[in-house]
Amino acid sequence: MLAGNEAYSPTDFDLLQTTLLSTSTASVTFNSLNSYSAYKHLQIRMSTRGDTNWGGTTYLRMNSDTGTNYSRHHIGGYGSLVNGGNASATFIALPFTVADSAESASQAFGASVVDIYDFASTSNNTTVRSFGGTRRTPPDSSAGVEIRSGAWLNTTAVTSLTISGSSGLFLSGSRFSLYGIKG
Amino acid sequence: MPTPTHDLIASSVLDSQVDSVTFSSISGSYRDLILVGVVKTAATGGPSANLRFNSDSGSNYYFAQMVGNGSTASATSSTTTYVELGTNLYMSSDFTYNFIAQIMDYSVTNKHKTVLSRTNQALDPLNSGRGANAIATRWVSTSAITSITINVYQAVANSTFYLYGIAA
Repeated sequence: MLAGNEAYSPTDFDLLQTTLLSTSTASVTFNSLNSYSAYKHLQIRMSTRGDTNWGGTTYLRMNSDTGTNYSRHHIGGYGSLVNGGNASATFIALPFTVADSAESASQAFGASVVDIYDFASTSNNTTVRSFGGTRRTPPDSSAGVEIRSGAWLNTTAVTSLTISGSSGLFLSGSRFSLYGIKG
Repeated sequence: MPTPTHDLIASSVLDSQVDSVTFSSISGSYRDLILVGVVKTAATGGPSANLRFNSDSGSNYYFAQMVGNGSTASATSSTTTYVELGTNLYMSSDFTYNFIAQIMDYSVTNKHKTVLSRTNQALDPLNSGRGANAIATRWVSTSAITSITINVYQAVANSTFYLYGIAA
């Protein structure tokens, strides 16, 4: 955006639902996404903390599909280490949730912004990108910053999104907000 | 019921050179903020771009960063006195950089604030060594953010800064 141009101020970015946990919960699901036919894309903005049993990975699944029908890539910075990876999996991995066992500051949460493209398409696989991270209290530098991509290898329209951990619960205070973006 | 959001709540288009821009009296009406900047600088060298919240200049910002510089990727993490936006920006009047910072949970008082920032500076092929920065910063404070100071070091006229509010 250069001076002289209009500020980017989208009028078609709408808050659809927010879940703010008041008790520990294993998963959060946004259902009935077919009711949001006015939107082309979705975005989830979340800040999350897991309990002492947290398994280390944050999962995203579509339409309750637990089969090996997802692919994912990432690049991440972890202290002085940067690396990337890819996998076929039963989920799309999202960036960091802060684990209670790894971070003594109870006010510390991991944050992510997750974009889900063409979620209602019945001709394309659904693709996802996410950006997120956290920094645990020094000297612990094992958590970091990640950019992730993923695909659900299915052309069915996405009607539900479920976010969970590989194990453990999201703690009270974790927040999940769903937005719609018109095409 | 869908609620329209992503509202422009403050902006600044520079008409002369400055070292910083401050958005103050930020209300708590939203849950997240998005800050977008496009900066051209008169500096050669000098400090990189950063943010401070509520004028806090203490060592209360923990960050993790990864950088692609044209040929290699690297990562660092540290404790600083600001939200780092990019440690390897090329300060020159010839080049512009842009950043977008997602400031999560800025208005709540029971969480530290996490900033997810991306800063980009693509130079011509003879000037590799800059590029793409992705940074996660935790401001170790439960205070609601009411002001943001953007330190940009000799930003020149026509540099732009826009602040948006995101409801949740």
